[in-house]
Amino acid sequence: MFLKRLKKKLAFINIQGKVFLLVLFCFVPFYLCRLYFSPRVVLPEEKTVKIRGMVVQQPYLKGSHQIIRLNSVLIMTERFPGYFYGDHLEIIGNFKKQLLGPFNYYYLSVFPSIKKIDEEDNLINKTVFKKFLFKTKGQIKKGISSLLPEPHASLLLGILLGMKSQIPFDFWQALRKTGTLHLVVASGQNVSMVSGFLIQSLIHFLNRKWTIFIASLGIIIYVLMVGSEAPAMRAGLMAILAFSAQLSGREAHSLNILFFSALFMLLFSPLLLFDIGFQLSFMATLGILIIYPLLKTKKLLSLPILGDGLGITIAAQIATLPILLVNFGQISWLSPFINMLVIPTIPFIMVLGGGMAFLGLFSKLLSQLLAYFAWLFLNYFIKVVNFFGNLSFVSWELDKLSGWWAIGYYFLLFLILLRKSIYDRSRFN
Amino acid sequence: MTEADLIRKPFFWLSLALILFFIFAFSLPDNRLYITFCQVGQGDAILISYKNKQILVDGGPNKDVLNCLGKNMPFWDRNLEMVVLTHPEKDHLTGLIDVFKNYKIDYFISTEVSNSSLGFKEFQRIILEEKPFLFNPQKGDRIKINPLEFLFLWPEFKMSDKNYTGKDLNETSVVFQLSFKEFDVLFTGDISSKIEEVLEVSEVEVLKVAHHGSSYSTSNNFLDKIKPKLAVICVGKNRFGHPTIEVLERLKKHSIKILRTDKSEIKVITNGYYYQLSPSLLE
Repeated sequence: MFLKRLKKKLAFINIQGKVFLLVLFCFVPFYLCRLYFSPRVVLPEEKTVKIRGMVVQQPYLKGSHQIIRLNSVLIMTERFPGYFYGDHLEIIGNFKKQLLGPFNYYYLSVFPSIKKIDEEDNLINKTVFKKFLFKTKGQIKKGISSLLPEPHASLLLGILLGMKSQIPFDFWQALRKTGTLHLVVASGQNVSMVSGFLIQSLIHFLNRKWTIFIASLGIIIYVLMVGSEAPAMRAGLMAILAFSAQLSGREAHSLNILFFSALFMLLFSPLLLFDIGFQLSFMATLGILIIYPLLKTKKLLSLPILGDGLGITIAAQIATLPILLVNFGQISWLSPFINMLVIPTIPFIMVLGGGMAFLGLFSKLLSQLLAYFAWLFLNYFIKVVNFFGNLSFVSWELDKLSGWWAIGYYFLLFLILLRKSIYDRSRFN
Repeated sequence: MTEADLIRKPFFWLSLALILFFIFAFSLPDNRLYITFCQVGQGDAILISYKNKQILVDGGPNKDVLNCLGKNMPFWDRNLEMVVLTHPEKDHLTGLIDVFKNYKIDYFISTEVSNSSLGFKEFQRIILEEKPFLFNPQKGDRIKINPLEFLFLWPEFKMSDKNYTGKDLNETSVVFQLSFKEFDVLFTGDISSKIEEVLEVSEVEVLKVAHHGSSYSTSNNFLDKIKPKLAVICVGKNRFGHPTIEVLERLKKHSIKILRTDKSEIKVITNGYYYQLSPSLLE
């Protein structure tokens, strides 16, 4: 009886949906296999160990210390000498395991002895290319920080290139409190703006095929440059999938693209499932794709320029709320409003920042001129964030909630959306 | 109308330029001297600004000094007229590496005493790259940046690695008095009482307390001699017990007002005759 009713309710899932479910069912066991066999680093604790490895992320400064990452090992050391992405290091020290989640952990070593090993020169490999990218990134950073004061320079670098480590602590806290932190990490939004910009400017010179090819290349370079973090990777993959679908003449459904990108990423690197950045990015996009169209019909959100930002943030917030609460125990109820105020500046900041980085190669004067304009938008952004960040009632601190709460929330959300979609469908028919 | 439409409108950029011009006009400085003791943690970083001239004394232990500069300089000014490094220890030096990277510096004042640390090596490299005008001061030297005057009181001789055989870099600190009309401030670096005893100083209004409030500095004798009304302690979280109770007691005994940079940034504003503290510090 119950099954029959359920069947009737689920009848609207069309052929495409069934194919999708099938793929999902095949995926799960395969994924679990990958997860089970994924390589883990295990180091003895309470003992001095010697390890060797390559620096997998551009080291960054935290206060007056340097943080270096070798796969699942984090090292805190003096600021000088500075190490770089791709350096091979030999580390002797004590390592302490820090748990981030059931499958997510890293080892931390504080002030171990570090020796740089001369690496054998593999002529062309991806390290060389990435090294080149990080060098370029370093150059851009140097240029921008010499043109703008702090924290403006840091904010611009965050928005443009997802460089977040140099952001002053106070300002970081204000961003966190106001729920605008997602704007300064290499987010999907950056990637979609870069791809949009590339497509729109290239299409004037090239045919469709080449435009898409070169834009894809541009996206890959951008994603690598911002450090290939999960949100940027997801957005890059989605953009490229969407382009390829367009090229092969198929109509691409955004939801399918999102799911396939996510599945692909998980197969490639199973531990990503436990990465908060990945979870947030995936759920936020899902929220924007499913909930935002429903909100869009509301009159309140039809404000010019500002309305889009508000609607998108509300949609993303509804979809990511449990992840934020379970992991950070903090919620900023004014966040959609604050986002609405600052999001419109992002395209200007990205265009001006990109212009500054590019012009900086030729003429300091021109890029300084752009910097003044960028300063205007950045200053507005900073003023808004600092103003709301200083209000004590902007965010609520809660005790960290249990995962069950999150599951319950998503189940409820799913039911509401299901009801809504059935209702809409019946009205439509 | 979307952002993409706006970006293509010349009128939009023109109005932005107008706004910028107004902000520029309103950010033009007045005739007063501003001395900002930056909040940089355990270390010194002090910005002296008068009109469009800025002088930075030490850079603190980290990049926080850049925020202080960003906050206290007009946005269009990327130039520091003078930077003083009192002595090459990391709580005074490290931040200057970032300052030299990001700002144009005209004059760099420091002794030629070096430190074997890697941070100092990096600093040397940056200085050689940026090529500011270098000056090694000694007792009695004066630098005038009208109407400000810097009178150097220490070290006794032009100091370099060759003629300095002692071990304590603190004792090589550049000490100077800044005068603006009737208003004087004494900057003491990290000197100890031993040197305070032999300094030829006059009375001042404000004292930058030596060595983050270490008990081996700021003696009763010294306070009797310079009679400051206000003492500023540049200090942050540290394991040395700075500022020490002894120093705080001594300052209290002389009924000197004490301000500390671990609580907030400290700004002293003066017209050369009277001084006031930035609004947040008024009681």
